Amino acid sequence: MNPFKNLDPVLHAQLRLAIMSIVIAAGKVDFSFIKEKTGATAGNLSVQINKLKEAGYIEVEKRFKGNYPQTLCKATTKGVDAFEKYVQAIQQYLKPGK
Amino acid sequence: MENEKQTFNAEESLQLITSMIRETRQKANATGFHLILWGTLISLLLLTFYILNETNTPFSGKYLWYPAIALGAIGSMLYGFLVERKRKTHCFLDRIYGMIWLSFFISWTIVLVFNYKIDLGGILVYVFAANAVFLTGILIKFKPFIFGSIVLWATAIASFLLDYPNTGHLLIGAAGMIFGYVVPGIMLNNKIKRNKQGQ
Repeated sequence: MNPFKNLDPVLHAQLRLAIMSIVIAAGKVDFSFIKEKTGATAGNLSVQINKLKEAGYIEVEKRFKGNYPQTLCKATTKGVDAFEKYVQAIQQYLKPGK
Repeated sequence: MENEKQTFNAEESLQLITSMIRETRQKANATGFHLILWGTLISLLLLTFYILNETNTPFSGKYLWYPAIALGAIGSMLYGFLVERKRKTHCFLDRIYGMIWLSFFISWTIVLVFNYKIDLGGILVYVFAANAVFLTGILIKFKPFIFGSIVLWATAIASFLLDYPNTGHLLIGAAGMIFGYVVPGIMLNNKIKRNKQGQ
């Protein structure tokens, strides 16, 4: 029997995992902040944010701040649960004896 | 960062999570601006009261509280509008700081409004301020705030022992606001500046 839990494929991709880590730490976070922290291109980031949104892991809110559009991302309850399960799973990979 | 790299192992994965969370939390720190502003205002006010008392100036300094509070409120609101509004992250901790300082402000206002009924009202303000500074210090894990809160509690105790309203409490209060508010506020701002330079 395989003692290791399967890693969530939605989260087990570097950029999506980075996005989830940031939104979980920040609560509500601006697209440009995620771009700055991850160093990803805007196009790449949009694609990955959409995948997380489709999986129901984050909510995306678009609004205007002054004359400029602003995109805010926030983790959903489902996203937080999935993230916690993912962290538990990788901890099991790191400490397989426990 | 590659978008779909699947080959990273569990250790790299955990490192990525830790570093992203650390960077985000550094950005979401509280600021020392409000402490510096209010600490300076109140200590200047207390020193003014002391000078007025010592020189027997026929002017009731208590009316200076209203313009000072108005000035502080305008300064805090302007800072919130011009600086904090531009922040790109709004974390759960920020809301907790906000609630701590809102509860302090409500308690402080009640004491100020009913100060004419209780002689010790002024000292209670140090106790409320110590609570708020202490809780903020614990939340952001910043020791100067813990020392600041101890200074404010000590200020309250010293003022009680001085047989309030002895004018000496005004000097103690001014020192308490400088070392309990202004100095920790400056130290926090310096730490934030150092963190930004190191990034």
